[in-house]
Amino acid sequence: MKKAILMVVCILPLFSCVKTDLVNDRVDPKIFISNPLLELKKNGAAHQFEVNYFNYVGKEIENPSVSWSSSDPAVLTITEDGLATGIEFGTATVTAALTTLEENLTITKKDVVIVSTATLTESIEFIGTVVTTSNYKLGGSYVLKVHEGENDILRLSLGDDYIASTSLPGLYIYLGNNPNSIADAYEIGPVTVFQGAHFYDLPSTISIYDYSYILYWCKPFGVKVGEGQIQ
Amino acid sequence: MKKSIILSLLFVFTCQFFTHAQWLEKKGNGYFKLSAWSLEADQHYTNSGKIDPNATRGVFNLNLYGKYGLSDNWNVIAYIPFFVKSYQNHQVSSVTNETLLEGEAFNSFGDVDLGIEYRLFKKSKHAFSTTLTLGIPSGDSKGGSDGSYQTGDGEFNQQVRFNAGTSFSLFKHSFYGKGYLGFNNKTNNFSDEVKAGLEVGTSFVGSKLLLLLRSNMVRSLKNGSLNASNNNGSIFANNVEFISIGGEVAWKFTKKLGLSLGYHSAISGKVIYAAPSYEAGLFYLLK
Repeated sequence: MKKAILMVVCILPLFSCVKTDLVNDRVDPKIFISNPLLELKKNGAAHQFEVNYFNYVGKEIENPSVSWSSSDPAVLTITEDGLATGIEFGTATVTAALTTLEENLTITKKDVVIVSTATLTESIEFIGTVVTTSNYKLGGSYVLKVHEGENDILRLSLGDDYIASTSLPGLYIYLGNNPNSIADAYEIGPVTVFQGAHFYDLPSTISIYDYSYILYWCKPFGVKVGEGQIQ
Repeated sequence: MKKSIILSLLFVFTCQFFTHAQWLEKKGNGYFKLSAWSLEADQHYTNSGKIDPNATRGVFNLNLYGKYGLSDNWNVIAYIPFFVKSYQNHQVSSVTNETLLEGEAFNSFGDVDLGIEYRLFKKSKHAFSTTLTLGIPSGDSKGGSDGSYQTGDGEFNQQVRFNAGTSFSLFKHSFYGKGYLGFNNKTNNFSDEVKAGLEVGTSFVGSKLLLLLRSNMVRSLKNGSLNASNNNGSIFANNVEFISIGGEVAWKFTKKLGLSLGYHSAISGKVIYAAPSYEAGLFYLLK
């Protein structure tokens, strides 16, 4: 009998060891023009376009091989390295194209630029909506914006319509590029406001173009419960 | 955030053990059981009662249950989970095979339940009793790297229960049936609970083989203020509700010793794992 008891005590814990969950974290690869323009001054004003490339699992790939083109070289020219020059009044579309190594897919990002007499202007605001991806109540509008009057601080503001279930345990908010994983995401912190307008000031090391998703993650359950796409 | 949803399951099913022994033990008699209990879940019931996925988490415990007759009318009861393991699986990308999130396990002592049962009266085939159970917060309510691998809920609760049992015959075979209705007074801003359960059982092979079916129910009174907004973003499992069904098979291989296997699962619930639990135990009858 003693042996039987010892056997049960020793063997049963083996059935409760830490195993492995496989997570399908594949996403569509994306490129972003990290410093798009609204307007560019005529007669030789130049702007060096740059891109961020996130691969099939949302990892950023440094120094991607991008080809640049202008829809109307008479209005705006662009070099192979992405240096754009305003030539004549008008509107031109700048296109960044990249062929992915893994899938051999060609992905593009376009930026419509007006060549005018105005000074160079950058787009510094994203507006969107956070929606629930679970059966917990969570959602609301957001604005991701560089506040020029406040030391160019990058601020994520949730609107009056924001609401999150107070039954959600261990709810955290992240910025990421893969909606299925927080492995390479930036953790903003635990959610402490569950209704109404509030905001998060982000560190200066983060650019407004660095991330493409706002993610709400339940840490104890290890799952996403809400997301907002940063377009 | 001191209490996890993992825990809700742990405590939910401890009540199973308290309905295990039959009626009250006579003076000097006892029922003692060494058990291993395990639950692993990759989905859970949300606060709206719907099912959502989660990273696979599990709870395993080794426990001792004992019920001893101080007299024919008074029994003492103890449930001692002396080893509790709370764990989560590694999260690995199926695309790149890279580890997205390291798994973790945390071991410690669990929350002990101590109780006393008093026979109200017994007449013919019918018996009535009442039980007072104290939930001792002897486990760890902050376990693991993020505090969510708890082995205790950190609160002291007191449960009063009224039990009724009877025996009857069906198709010339003897059965017993019993039920209980209880109130669990929880502290630390947890909501109080109403609990109820039913059990039907019978024996075969000269009472060597015992089969029983069991159903338990917990309803939250939702009178506790604990939630995510007033708990500094921490983890908790308040307002847990469920209806579970299950069964147990026990085989007495001597007059005093036996082996039991149990299965229970929530068929509906709120803030609780949606997965079955399994239990295996060795029991000893002191006579």
